[in-house]
Amino acid sequence: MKHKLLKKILSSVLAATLVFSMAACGNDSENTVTSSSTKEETKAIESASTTESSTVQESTVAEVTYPIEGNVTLTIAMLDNATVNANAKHLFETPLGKAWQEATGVTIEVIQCANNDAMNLLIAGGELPDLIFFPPSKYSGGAEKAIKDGVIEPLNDYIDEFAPDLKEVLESNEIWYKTNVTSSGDIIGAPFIRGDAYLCSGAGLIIRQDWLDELNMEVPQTPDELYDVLVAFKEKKGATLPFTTTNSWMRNIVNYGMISSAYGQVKSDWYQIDGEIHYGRAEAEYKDTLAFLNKLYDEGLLDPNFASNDNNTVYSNMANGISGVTVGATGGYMGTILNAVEKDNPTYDLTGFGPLVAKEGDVAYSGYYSNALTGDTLFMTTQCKNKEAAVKFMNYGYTEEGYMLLNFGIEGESYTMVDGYPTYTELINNNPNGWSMQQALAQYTMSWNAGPFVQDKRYMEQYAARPQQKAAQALWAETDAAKYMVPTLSIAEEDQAEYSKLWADINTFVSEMMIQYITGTADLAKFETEYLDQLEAMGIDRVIELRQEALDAFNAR
Amino acid sequence: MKLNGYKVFSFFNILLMLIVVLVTAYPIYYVVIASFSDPTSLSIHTGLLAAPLKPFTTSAYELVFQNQQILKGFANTMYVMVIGLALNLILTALGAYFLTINGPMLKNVITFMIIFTMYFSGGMIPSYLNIKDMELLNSLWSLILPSAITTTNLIIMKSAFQAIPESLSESARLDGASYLQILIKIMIPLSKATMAVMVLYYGVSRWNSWFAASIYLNNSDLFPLQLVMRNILNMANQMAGSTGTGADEMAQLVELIKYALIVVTTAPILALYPFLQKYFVKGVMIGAVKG
Amino acid sequence: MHKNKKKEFFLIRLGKDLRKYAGAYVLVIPVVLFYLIFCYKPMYGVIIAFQDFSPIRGIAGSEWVGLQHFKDFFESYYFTRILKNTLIISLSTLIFSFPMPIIFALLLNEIRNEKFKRLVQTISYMPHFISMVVVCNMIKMFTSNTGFITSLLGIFGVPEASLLTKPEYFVPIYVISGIWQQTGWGAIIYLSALSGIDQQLYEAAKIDGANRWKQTLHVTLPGISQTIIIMLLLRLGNIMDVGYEKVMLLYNEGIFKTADVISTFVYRKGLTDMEFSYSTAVNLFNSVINFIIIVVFNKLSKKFTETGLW
Repeated sequence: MKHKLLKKILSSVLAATLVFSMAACGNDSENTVTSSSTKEETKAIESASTTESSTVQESTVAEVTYPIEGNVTLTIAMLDNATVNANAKHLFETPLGKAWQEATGVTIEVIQCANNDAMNLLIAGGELPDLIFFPPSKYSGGAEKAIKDGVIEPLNDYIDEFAPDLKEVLESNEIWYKTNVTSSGDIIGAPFIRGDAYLCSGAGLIIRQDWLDELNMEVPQTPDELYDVLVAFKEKKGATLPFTTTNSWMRNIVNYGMISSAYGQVKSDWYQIDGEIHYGRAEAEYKDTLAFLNKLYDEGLLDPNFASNDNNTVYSNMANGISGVTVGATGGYMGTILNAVEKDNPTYDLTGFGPLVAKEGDVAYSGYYSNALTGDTLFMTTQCKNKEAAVKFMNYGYTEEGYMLLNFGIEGESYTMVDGYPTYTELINNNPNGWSMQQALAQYTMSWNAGPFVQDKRYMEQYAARPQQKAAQALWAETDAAKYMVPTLSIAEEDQAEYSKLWADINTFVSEMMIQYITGTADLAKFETEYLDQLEAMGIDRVIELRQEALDAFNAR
Repeated sequence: MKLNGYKVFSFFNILLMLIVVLVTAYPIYYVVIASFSDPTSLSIHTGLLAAPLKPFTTSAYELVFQNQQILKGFANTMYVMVIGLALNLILTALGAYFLTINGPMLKNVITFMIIFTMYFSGGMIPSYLNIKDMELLNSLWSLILPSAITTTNLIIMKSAFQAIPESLSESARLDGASYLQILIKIMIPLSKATMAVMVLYYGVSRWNSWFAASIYLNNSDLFPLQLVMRNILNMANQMAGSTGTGADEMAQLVELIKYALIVVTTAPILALYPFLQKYFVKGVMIGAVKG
Repeated sequence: MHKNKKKEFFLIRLGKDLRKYAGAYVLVIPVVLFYLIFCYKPMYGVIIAFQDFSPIRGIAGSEWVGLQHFKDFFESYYFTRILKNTLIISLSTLIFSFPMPIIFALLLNEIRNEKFKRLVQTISYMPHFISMVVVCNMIKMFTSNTGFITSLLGIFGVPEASLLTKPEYFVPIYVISGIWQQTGWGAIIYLSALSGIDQQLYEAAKIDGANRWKQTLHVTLPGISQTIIIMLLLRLGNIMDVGYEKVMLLYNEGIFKTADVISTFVYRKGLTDMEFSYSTAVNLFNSVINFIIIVVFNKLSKKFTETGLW
C-alpha cells in the first residue's frame, strides 16, 4: 500500500516552488542549500512514472492511526509569513491549519517569529518549543551543531515506530535520505521535499520570440548564435541594450553554468564529477565565459548598467523594447513581463532558451537548478514534552491523507477530484473575497510555499501558467545539472573557523573580479597571473580540500 | 548699498529655498502618485512620473485597509508611541537636568556611566535574555522600556538646559524651590523648542522602530505597523526571484500596495511636525523671564 | 591604615553629599535604574567577542578563543580596504554633510515670510521619512546610463554609463544623496537652537549698527555654537560607523573597491554563518576606536570651547 503512495507521490510531483528566492540563494553557493539529484533519483522517478497506475488506493497507513488520542497540545515555533498573515493570524488558524489539527488530533500553539534573528534568539533563550519549523542550516553551525548543542532531538529512536511514512519517503531516495541525516547518522527531521528534478529548475535565459520570428531567426543555442541575435536586435529592432539583466542574475548565469557548457565547463561555481569536487571560478575554462560576456559588454550588446540594475529596470527594459534578451525565473520574470505587456502589445512573446552549448543539439552540463530538499525542516527539540505525539504529527504530511491535505487542502472545499485529478475549486481560482490565488492557496495549502511534506506537481499545473512558462520550465530542466550538483555539505566543526576565514575573502574576491572582467575594468589577458594565482595565494586549494572532505563524508553516510 | 546687497541675497535665498522644496518634495509626490497608479504600467515605467499612470486606482488603499494586520499594527504602534513617548520625555528631562546640577559628587560617575553606553552594549543575545528574564517577552512593554532613553537625545537635552543661565535656578533654589520644581517651572518652559525636538526625535524613532518588535514578540497580534510593513515588503523582494509560474501575480500585488503602504505608514508621523512647529518660532525672551 | 581612613573619609563625604543633594539624586534614580537594568546588565555580552559563541550553550558554556576573531579581522585580505573605505565615507559625510543643516537653518532663518518658511521647513524634512529602499531605487534610476543626473554630467563630458558601476562615483553619490535626504531633518535641532537665542541680543546689535551679516556672525552663530559643537562631537564619536543598509542597496561587486565598508563586510560574512562572535568582535573594535576619539575630542573641546558632552 505504501509503495503505491510513494509511486504516486514521485510520479505526480512536478512543479516548482514559489517562495524561496533563488536569486538570493544563488548569490552565495555557501548559502544555497544545494541538493543533488543523482541518476538513481531520476531513474526512480522515471520508473515510478511509467509504472504509475491511476487507481488511488484507499489506504490508511498501517502503523500510525490518526487522530492521535489524548488531546495533545504541541507548541511549534515558525517564521511568520506575510501572505498567510494577510488573512489569518498564522498558519494554524487558517482552514488548512484547522483541518490539519483536526486530522491529527493535535492542538497546535504557534510561537510566531518575525525573522531569523527572532528564531535564533528563541533558541538561545533556552526554553524550546516542542517543534520548530526552520532550516537547521540557519542555526549557527548547522544541523550537526544543533544536535550536539541539544537543540534538535534526532528522530532515530522514534522514526520506525511513530513516523513510518516519513521513513518510507526518505528511504526511497538516497540523496533525500543523506541530506536529512548528519554525518554521524542522526536523522534531522521532517523536510520539505520537491520530489522531482523538474521542480528544481525554473529559471534561465529569456528571449523575444516575436522579434526572432520577424527576423526569421532561430532561438540561439550557442554563444555565437546568441551574439548574432543580439547584434540583429540592436541593428534591426532598435534595442539599445539588447541583453539586460541584474547583478544577481548575472551571478546566476555564471554560477549555474548557463553559458559555460559551451566552453566545456560544467558551471563556474561548486560542482562535482563522480565525487570529486570542483570550483569553477578557479578553473581556466572560466575565462572563456568571461571573455564572451566581456565581448558583449564591449560591443554594447550587454546592458552596461547590469551591475546596478534592479528587477524593475529589467522588466521595463524588456517590456519597452529596449532589450530583447534577459535571464530570470518563469514566475518573477516571464510572468511579470508578459503580464505587463499583454494589454498593449498582444503580439509580444517570450521564449525560454539555453543553457548555451558548444554546438546545436548538445545537452548542457548544467543550468539553473536548486534543491530537492530546500532545507526547510520541521524538527523536534530535545525539550519536547510529548515526543511520541510530536513525531506522529511530523509524520502526517507524508501519509496519503496528509499529502493531499497539504498539497491541495480540504476536499470538497478547496479541491474536488475530477477523474482522479485534484482540481482546485473556485474558492482558490477565483476567490470570492477577492484574494489572489496565492493568498487563497496560502489559506488552504502549503504547496505554494514549503512544509513537512512532498510537493505535488499538480498544484503547479493549475497555477495560472502560460504556455510559454510551461515550455520554458520544461526546457530548462533538460540538462544534466542533477548529475553535477553538490549536495548540502557541512564542514567539519574543527575546520569551520579556518574555512570561513578563507572563504569570506575568496568569495568577495571572485564576485568582484567577475564584474571587473565582464566590464573590462580588469584585463582578461592577465587572468592567469592576476586572478588564478591570487586565488591560490588566498588559499583556494585548502578550501577545495575542505569541501572535498565534506563531500566524502556526505557520500559515506 | 548694504541694503541692496541684502536684497540680492534674499532673492537668491528664496530661489534656493524653492529649489530645495522642489527636490525634496518630488520623491514624496512620486510615492503618492505611484500609489494611485496602475501597477502593471508602473512596473514597466521608466523615469520620472508627473501624474498617476492610468488607469487611476485606489485599489491599493482598499487592499491595505483590508489587511487585518495593518490595522492591528496601527493600534499597537499608537499604544507604544503614546506611552513610550511620555516615558522618554520624563526620563530624558530628569537625566538631563541632573547632569546640569552643580555639586553632587556622583555627577561625574553618572555622566560617565551614561556616555559609556553610547559605545558599548551587550548586543542582541544578552539583551534578549534580559527581557526574557524580566518576563517582558510578548508584551508591548518590551518595546517601551528598553528604549526609554536615547543617550544622544539626553545629551542634546542637557546642553539645552545648560544654555539657561545658572542664575535662574540658583535664585529659585534660594527661594526654596525643590529641584523638581525648578525642572518643571523653569528648565522645561525655557527649553520648549528643544522639548519639541525631543518629541519629534523620540516620536519618529518610536514610530519607525521594528527590530525590537521582531525579536521580542512572538505573537503577530502585537506587531507594530512598521514590522507588518516590512514583512510585506520583504515578500516582494522574494517574489521577484521565485521560479513559481504564478509568482508574478503576488509580486504585482505587493508592488501595487507598496507605495500605498508607504503612504499609510508615513503620513501620520509626517503630520506630527506642523504641530510642533510653533515651538520653533523665534522670540524667546530669556531676559523677560529673568525679570 | 591610611587607606582605610581615606576610604572612611570618602564614605562620610559621600553620605553628606547624598544628604545635601537628596532632592537631585531622587530625580536621577529612575534614570540610573534604566541604565543599570537595560544597558549594564546585558553588557557582559561583549565577552562573546572572545569566544566561539553558541547561542544555546550560552556564554558560560561557549569555548574561549581569546583574540582569534580580532586576529581574523585584522588579517583579512580586505581589512585595509574596508577600513579605508569606511573612513573615507565617514569623513566625507562629516565634511560635506555635517555643515549643510547648519547652513540651511541659517538661510531659512533669513526668510521673512513666515508661511513660506514653514512650508520650506515642512517639506524639506520629509525625505528623511522615505524608506531607504525607495530612496536607493530613485538614486539608481537617476544615475543609470539614461538617468537625468548622468545626462546632466554628460554635458560636462562624463561618459554616459551607469554611475554606480564606476568606483569613483560611489562616495559622491552616497554623500550627496545623504545631504539631500537628511539636511532638512538635521536642521531641526539648529532651528530650535535659533529660536532660543535671546531677541534682546539682536536689538542690542542693531543699536550698535550691525547689519544682517554682522548680526549673523556675532549673535546668531555664537547663539547656536554650543549646539553645533555638541552635534559635531556626537558625530565624531561615530566615525567608525557607516551603516550597511544604504551601502548594500547601492553597491555591487564592481565597485567594492570604494564601496565595501566594515559593516557590509561583516554582514556578508555573517550570512555564511550566524557569526555572533565575529560581528561582536568587530563592533567592539569599532566601539573602542569611537570611544577613544570621543574622549580625546571632548577633552579638546572642553579646553578650547568650554563645551563638551560631559
